[in-house]
Amino acid sequence: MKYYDLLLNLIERDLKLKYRGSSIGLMWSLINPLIMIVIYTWVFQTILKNPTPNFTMVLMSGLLPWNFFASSLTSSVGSFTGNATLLTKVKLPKYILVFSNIFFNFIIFLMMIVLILIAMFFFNVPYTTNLFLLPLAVIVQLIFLLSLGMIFAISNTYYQDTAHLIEVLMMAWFWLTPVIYQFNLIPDDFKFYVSLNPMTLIINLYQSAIMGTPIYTNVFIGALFIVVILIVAIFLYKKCDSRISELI
Amino acid sequence: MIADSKEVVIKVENVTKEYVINIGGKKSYKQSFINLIKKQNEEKIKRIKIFNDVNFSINKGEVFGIIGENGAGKSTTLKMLAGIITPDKGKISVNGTVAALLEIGLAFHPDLTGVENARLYGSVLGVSRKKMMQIMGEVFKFAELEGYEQVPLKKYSSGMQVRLAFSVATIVDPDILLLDEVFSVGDQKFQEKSFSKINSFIEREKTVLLVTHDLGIVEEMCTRVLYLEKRGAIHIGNPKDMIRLYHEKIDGGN
Repeated sequence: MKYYDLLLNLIERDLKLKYRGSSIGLMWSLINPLIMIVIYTWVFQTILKNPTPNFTMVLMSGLLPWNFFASSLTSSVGSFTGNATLLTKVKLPKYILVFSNIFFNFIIFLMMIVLILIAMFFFNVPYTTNLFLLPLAVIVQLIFLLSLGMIFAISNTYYQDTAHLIEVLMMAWFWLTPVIYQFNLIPDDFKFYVSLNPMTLIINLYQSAIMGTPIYTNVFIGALFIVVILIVAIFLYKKCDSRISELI
Repeated sequence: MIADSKEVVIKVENVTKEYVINIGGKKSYKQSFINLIKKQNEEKIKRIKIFNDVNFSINKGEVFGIIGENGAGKSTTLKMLAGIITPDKGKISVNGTVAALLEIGLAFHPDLTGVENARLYGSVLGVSRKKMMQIMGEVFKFAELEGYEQVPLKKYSSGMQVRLAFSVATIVDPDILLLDEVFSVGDQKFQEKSFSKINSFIEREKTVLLVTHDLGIVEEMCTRVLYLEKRGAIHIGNPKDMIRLYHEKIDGGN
């Protein structure tokens, strides 16, 4: 692929810009989620008495994929508008800009996966064959992220307040997804509605892979929504591709 | 005319292009939502037609100049030929690899070093990372920027940025080179160097398109000139005639 090297260069650019000038730059990416997990554990287990066994590990297996999801989407909003100098001066397949952003975040997430695998040892979580679900969870999440990232990036070229909207959306979405509470704790009346959320499926896949818990959610509905979003993203990109360079 | 018997590399057919300018600034969800509730459409849009059914073609080996007043659509023409923006109607066919040097410098990212920017630019033009590493010394040598490889681009002067961009764009040896106001920035010495580089292009039957306000350069270098009048009227001819016409129109307008 002709633009494979461009994709690599863009990912390298983002990594360099993020970590330039600070030798502990990469450490920051680890410190933030670690602090979050310690605090959430204290709040939800010590204070709010969450009954889930091994709560810290359940939290890690949901919260870290969620962070990957949220930070990728928040930054992909600017994939086109933040690369105006590139888009107005050279011809390139524009989707590469969204891809490079998501993959850049993915590289940081890979470190988190390593962190989880190490933590499993210290928290006495057995390494089971369920771990084979982990690559599946990652692939499904990447497909969903690329589609949504594309939609948000295009939206931001037309509507300048997309980022504000995403901020609110992300906050609501976080609490509506079983990340810090477990799917089986949801009252039966609401289970169906929570199943409609593709992130329920994705987080559930991660939890199942790491903790060996069953898949609670409706896989079919979750997968269907992911495919629908993918099709919408492709359709939107084809429709708007030629206008993007003029709008930013 | 010299152009007649030669192979056509760029063909512009019935191209119409309109710029849509939103006077109220960029749209926002908030405003759209308010408009929806108030049931009103407050979008103020101004449409400016830059091209109206434009046709021309450029042959292999030509140095094709584009002149015209500000806002006549010179840069838009180059951007359409480079494939960065698409015409509303009509068709542009380009036969060969294109490297475009538009506006000042490359400046992909001011915090990245010269080498990193050059490599990024190279990969946009389709040069592999490996190849780019090999020719990097050559790029900086031609740009006369040896010693500046690891300096962030924001520390470069605009002239230095153009030199680096020009150096990358020409070292990849495209079939068609698009230049937009490149000569206004470099110093005398680099100008001469880039002229001889362009001449070597021409000797090898490559095509150069240049947009400039410097009519001296146009007269000296171009084989044919396109004079873009505002609102899509175009004239094509030899440099002397077109420059005369350009002066007449400007003086006549005053």
